[in-house]
Amino acid sequence: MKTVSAIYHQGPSLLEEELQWIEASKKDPSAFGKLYQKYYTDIFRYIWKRTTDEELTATLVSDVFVKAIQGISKYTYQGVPFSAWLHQIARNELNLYYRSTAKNRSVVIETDQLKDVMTDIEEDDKEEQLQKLISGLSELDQEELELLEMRYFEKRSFKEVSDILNIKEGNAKVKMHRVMQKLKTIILKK
Amino acid sequence: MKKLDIHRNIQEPTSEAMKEHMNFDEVLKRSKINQSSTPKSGSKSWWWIGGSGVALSIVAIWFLINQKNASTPNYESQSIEMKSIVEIKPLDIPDVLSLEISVPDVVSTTMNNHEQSNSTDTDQKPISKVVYLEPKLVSSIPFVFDDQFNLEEQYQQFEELSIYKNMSFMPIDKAQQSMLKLSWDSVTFHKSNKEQYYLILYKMGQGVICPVSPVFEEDHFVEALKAYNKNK
Repeated sequence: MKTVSAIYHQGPSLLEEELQWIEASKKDPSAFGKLYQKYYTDIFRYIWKRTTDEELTATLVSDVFVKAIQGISKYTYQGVPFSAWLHQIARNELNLYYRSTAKNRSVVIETDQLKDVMTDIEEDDKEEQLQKLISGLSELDQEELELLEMRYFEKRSFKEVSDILNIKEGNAKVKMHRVMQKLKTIILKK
Repeated sequence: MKKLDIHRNIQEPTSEAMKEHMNFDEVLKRSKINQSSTPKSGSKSWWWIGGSGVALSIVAIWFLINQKNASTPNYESQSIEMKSIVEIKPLDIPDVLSLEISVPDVVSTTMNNHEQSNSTDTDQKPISKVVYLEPKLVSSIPFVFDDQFNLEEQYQQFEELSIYKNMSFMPIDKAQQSMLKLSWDSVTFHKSNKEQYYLILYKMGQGVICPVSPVFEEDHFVEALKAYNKNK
């Protein structure tokens, strides 16, 4: 499975530049503008895929960056990229939002992504099976769904997934494997 | 988990459409306003204020309940209404013989033992007298323990309960009532140092302590009362 996120897996020079922006933002919040420009669409996409509401997404993204500016002094680079730190804030904002409202959580999927899942669980990718997979998604718990979304629907690497979920990479792999087994069981049961 | 709204093959907004929502100045402004701890106009900030209020209320209620518990029964602090062994104050009795005559039959065994072990002891130590537990009537108990647990045999080990049959157990904590209906591997009956009776309910090697009051259902209460009146 192709999992490339250029913005996440950036080279040393870009990383160095980013760290300079972060340090500057700690002294002067208006210096955060460059980070805002760089990550806005990435965070927007992440939230939109879980809300499918453009206006709501814009509000939540705004909340994410407000919190990021307020918390930037606490951020120090210790192997977890700035992008993952922003995604962690976005994840918290989404959780807060869904806890405080009665709205259903949205999931955006494409047929090809569903077929990738079916291939990996060694099941037929006919439409009937895909429908079973779709209905099986609601049987996953929140973290399981997030793992599946990030790995299969957003094509993120295990490193990135583990950084966002704040778990170890090996743990993310084990959990992902269990999710796939669970989905297979659900599909076979239906 | 909440119900999911699954959207298949929908077009996500273009990068241009996303960027239309960008407004760094507003974000910067909001971050400064929020840093000065002014509640923001969104519903979430009010949720936090509400949450803090609820937390304070919970602390206040907890405090009041604790105050109340100081006078209401619980496992540790129950005023031992069922306290059944009382201490007889030292009596001014000239010899052991007169004591044997003056005390009820129930105590005589204790007295004899005392005489045998320490016939020359002139100290006047407190002597325990068994006072049987006065039966307490309850309308009905919604659970019955399996006979295999031999609870009757177990509670009859306690002198103050030894005269009773068909005794039932009422949990001190009503929340534990439903727990007693579950199927247990074994059940044992005990009394704490503070005179509180309790059951230990065992399942798969794990035990749950359930403080109880000995009670009698209507069918067995009269019989228990007769036994009590006869022996008190």
